[in-house]
Amino acid sequence: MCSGVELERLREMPFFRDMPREVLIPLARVAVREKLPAGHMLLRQYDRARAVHFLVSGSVQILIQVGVDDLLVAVLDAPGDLIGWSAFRPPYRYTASVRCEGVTEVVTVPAEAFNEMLDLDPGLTYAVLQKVAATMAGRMQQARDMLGSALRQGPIGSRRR
Amino acid sequence: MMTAPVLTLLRNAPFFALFAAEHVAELARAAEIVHYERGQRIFTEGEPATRLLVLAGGAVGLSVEVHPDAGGHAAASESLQAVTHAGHAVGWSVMIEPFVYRDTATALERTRLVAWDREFLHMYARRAPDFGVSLMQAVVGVLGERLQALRVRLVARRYDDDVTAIRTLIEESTTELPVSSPLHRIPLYLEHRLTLADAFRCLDLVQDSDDEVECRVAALCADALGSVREELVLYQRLQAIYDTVAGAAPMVSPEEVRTRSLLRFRELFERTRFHISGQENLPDQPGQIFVMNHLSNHPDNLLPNKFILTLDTHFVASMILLGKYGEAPIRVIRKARPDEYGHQKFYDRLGYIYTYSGYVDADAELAGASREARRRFFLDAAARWLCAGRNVLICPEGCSTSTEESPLRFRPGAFELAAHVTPEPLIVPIAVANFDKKITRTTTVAVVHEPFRLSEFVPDPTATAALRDFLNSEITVRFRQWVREAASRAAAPVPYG
Repeated sequence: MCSGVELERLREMPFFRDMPREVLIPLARVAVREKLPAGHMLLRQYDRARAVHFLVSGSVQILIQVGVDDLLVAVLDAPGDLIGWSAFRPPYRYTASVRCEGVTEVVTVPAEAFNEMLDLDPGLTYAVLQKVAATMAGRMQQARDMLGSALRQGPIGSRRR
Repeated sequence: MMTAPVLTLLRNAPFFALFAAEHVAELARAAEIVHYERGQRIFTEGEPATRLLVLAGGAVGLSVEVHPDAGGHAAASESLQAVTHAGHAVGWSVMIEPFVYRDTATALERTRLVAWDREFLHMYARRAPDFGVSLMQAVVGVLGERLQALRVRLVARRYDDDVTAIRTLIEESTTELPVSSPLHRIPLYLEHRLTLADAFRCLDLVQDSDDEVECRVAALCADALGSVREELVLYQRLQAIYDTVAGAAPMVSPEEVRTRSLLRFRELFERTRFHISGQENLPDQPGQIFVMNHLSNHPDNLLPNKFILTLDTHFVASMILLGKYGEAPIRVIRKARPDEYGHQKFYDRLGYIYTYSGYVDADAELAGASREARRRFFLDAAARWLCAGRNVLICPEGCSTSTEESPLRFRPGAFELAAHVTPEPLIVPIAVANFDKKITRTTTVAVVHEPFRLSEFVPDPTATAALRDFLNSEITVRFRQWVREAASRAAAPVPYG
């Protein structure tokens, strides 16, 4: 299920809260609000990062591919969470896959619309990148928490010799 | 402050690669050079982030506090990454709300950094927004690399396999890496102990490559494999010690070979985390019997010739007894079986006292001798050393086990020896723990306990029942307690030796 996004709805999201109304108008015009079923793959690791998503409700799993497995590295469930920070950083490819845990609602903004907005205003770009960096720092914290809970069993190379 | 050298550093720094020249010049003018000694804290996780720093020389270790589980375990410091390349940044939290350092940075050696205050950076970013954009792009770039490094560690830990983690990292980077990159070979090199050194040689070479992606992935691999490199260094030192002994020229005396090997063991142990206590219990005069529990060897220390150098006995001999008395103790060693070439080649060169059990070479001195004759041989040989004022180091169990199971039942030989010598030597107990673990990932412990004379407990050592009773009810029980205490000391934070 897919619908457009009202400007005021966009402004309610923490990521957009401090941004001037006029810069959000073109974003709201192209943004899409979607309700996705459980298990839906919102984005896939290694794909070109063509969109940025913001969680409205529900939760998503962040998975990284390890051989034929998918390793869960984080779960996001806070409304407003940014998904797809790779759209702001070379090589502009997703570094993880994202799957909906349950029915999940997201607002999707094409990366291109962001780029057009940011090209016009370095001050705004600075502010946006600070928020992207804060998101990435949050992901790092989650990865560290998981690292702390994943106790090491042994040394390298049990297959050696 | 000298602006020109700083300007050169900043111009070549990967962190500032995308900055306009005028901004780099402004940064150079505003920079402050700060120095830290090895082990000195640069900033601490949780403290307000006040400075962005770029490495000018030396190395910085980044670590975080981890809370292993909800089971009441204390938080521990987890090493995350070492920043060793000049021009790389630490302290990026200064640009991210809530402006609190997310990790702890410590100088790993004498280190020089270029620093800027938070106020300056934010003010300049407001004044020159394109500088702010470049700065945040650089910070986002660093964050992406750190996140990737963390995920590599997470994969390594979840799958208990660094090879899988490195393979995942290289696969993630496949689209960016040149197809001819030597990095594609790394997972294969990591599969076998004997090609680990090739993996690190390759990583070290590639880190100086002109290809930025290759360079970055190699650095990530090297970071993720930090503890593996430590294990490799240890293994190579064990190999070198073996060769020092087994390959010693025939004209070099066993005494000299013993000393050389123990000095090399000291160098090895000094790079590890260990705890020694009770050294005040060491008698002033040598010529004593030192008894210790014996721990199994970690299988990763197995040399290519199937021989494992015991670490606990060499630790006691090199770090405690050589240190105190200035000479290698005489150890009592089981005579190798005929098929244990590696064992024979090593111990035959050291001139230790052999004990014979089971089948031995037909041409050996005591081949075909009775059990009693073998016992007398051991007692007489060891007594000669003691009477000559040399220390004798014995593991009375005659075999090894884990720290948790240690000690096993003591055999009477070491104690019969005490009764066999006049004047009666002291028996000095030394309890050891954790030498059965990987010594790069544990704290090893040795505790010297108060010496005693056998005659204080067993007035008539020829009374077999009394001696057996002392061994089973007294000394083994005490040793068990001492080993538990030694193991618990390892839990307390201990700095690297």
